[in-house]
Amino acid sequence: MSARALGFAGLLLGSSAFGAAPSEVASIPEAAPAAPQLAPRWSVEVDGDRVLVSLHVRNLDDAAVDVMVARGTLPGANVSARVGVDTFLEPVLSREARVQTFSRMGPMPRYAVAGAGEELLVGTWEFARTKEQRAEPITLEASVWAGLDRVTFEWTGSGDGSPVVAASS
Amino acid sequence: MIGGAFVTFAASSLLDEDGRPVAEVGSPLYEGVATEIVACPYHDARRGLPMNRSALRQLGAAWPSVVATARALAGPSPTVHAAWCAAVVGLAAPVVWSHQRGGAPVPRALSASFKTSLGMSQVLTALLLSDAAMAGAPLGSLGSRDDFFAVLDQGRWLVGQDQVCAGTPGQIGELFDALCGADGDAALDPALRSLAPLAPWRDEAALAIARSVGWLATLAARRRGGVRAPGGARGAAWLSGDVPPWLRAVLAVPNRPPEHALRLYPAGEAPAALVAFLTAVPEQLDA
Repeated sequence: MSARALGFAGLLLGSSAFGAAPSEVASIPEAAPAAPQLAPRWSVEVDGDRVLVSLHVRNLDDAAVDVMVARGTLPGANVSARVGVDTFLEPVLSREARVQTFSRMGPMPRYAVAGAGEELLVGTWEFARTKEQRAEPITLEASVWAGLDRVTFEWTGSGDGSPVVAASS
Repeated sequence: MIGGAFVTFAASSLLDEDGRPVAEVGSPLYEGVATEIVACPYHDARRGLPMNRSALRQLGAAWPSVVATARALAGPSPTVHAAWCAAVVGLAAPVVWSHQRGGAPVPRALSASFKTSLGMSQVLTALLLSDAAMAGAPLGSLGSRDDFFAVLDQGRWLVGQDQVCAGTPGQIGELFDALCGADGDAALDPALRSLAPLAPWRDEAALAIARSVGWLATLAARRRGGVRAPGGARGAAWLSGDVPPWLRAVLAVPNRPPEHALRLYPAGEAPAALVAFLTAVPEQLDA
């Protein structure tokens, strides 16, 4: 391969999607397994200027799958909360969690096995909002690592925490 | 000297001349310093996430030196491998300084270079692993600074797993240009120059990273083969703190064989010690 044919695409493949680069796929005989099928179960509570979120996932496959349930003392999944188009709510983190969040070494991930049909808690989160934001709809986006894949979910609800759109994957 | 200490991030126990821990919140010393945390204001994937403004202020104060040093280390028309080596120098320098100076506080410029090199080395390692021909390719041939930033942003390299880079988009682009050998001031910071010759400890640190990549890829291959992280000594090795978690992102591609660690070097230039290590790892695990 010439240098001109190279580019930055490997960074996209290697960083976020947990997907296989074409050159890697070509080197293995069998097809890569499909991404795990997971169903989310959100729990959203509001308490004034605090939004409390928890997320469970259920394994819909027949085979067991490893799910990241924690990274150090942080939740195993990533969840962001926003109001409006692009205003993200600030997560409320403990001192210990802040330390781990900022460490590029990163907190140590821990996995749990979700058997067929089994449900696991992948994290709880707390977000802060202003008084003015209390009436605005909330959108939650989650990334859950299962096996070698990242599965994403979204939840949208009103400012009082009740869903206005069913949870979807 | 560097190998084990580098891989286990001895830098996390060092303070710089500003009294800040070199590794910021990755350091057990972080609790003792005042740090300003703000929501990231940049219009990219980091927006709204917590950001360390105190570290950014320090980086800003040392920025001209950081860029000039990176340009000098990379050379006039660097390959991806050469740029990676430049980042490795920035990463290892605080440990070398502390070792040679009997634990003296790390100079601000070296502390700032460490922070930028940590992120850049992570990205460049992933780039090198992505293709066997990457090591010999000129970094500047891969795309522009805007292309580079766009890929970092799109791939969430600036966030990673909850890890927010505090560098501005302009700083990231400027550092990329410097590592590509673009015109500008090129001079080693005096503190770094005092650690010369650089090549011996740079090569030792690079080898430590390559060994880590090979080690992690071997463990990942075993896991794919149905060997779950077991208990006992082997389980401890599996989840050992000696394994640098920041390298895990470069192993996100499934089915990566351990010998891909050789891709960190141009074809035929991998150290014999790395080849020997890759051969020995399976035997050690089976022992």
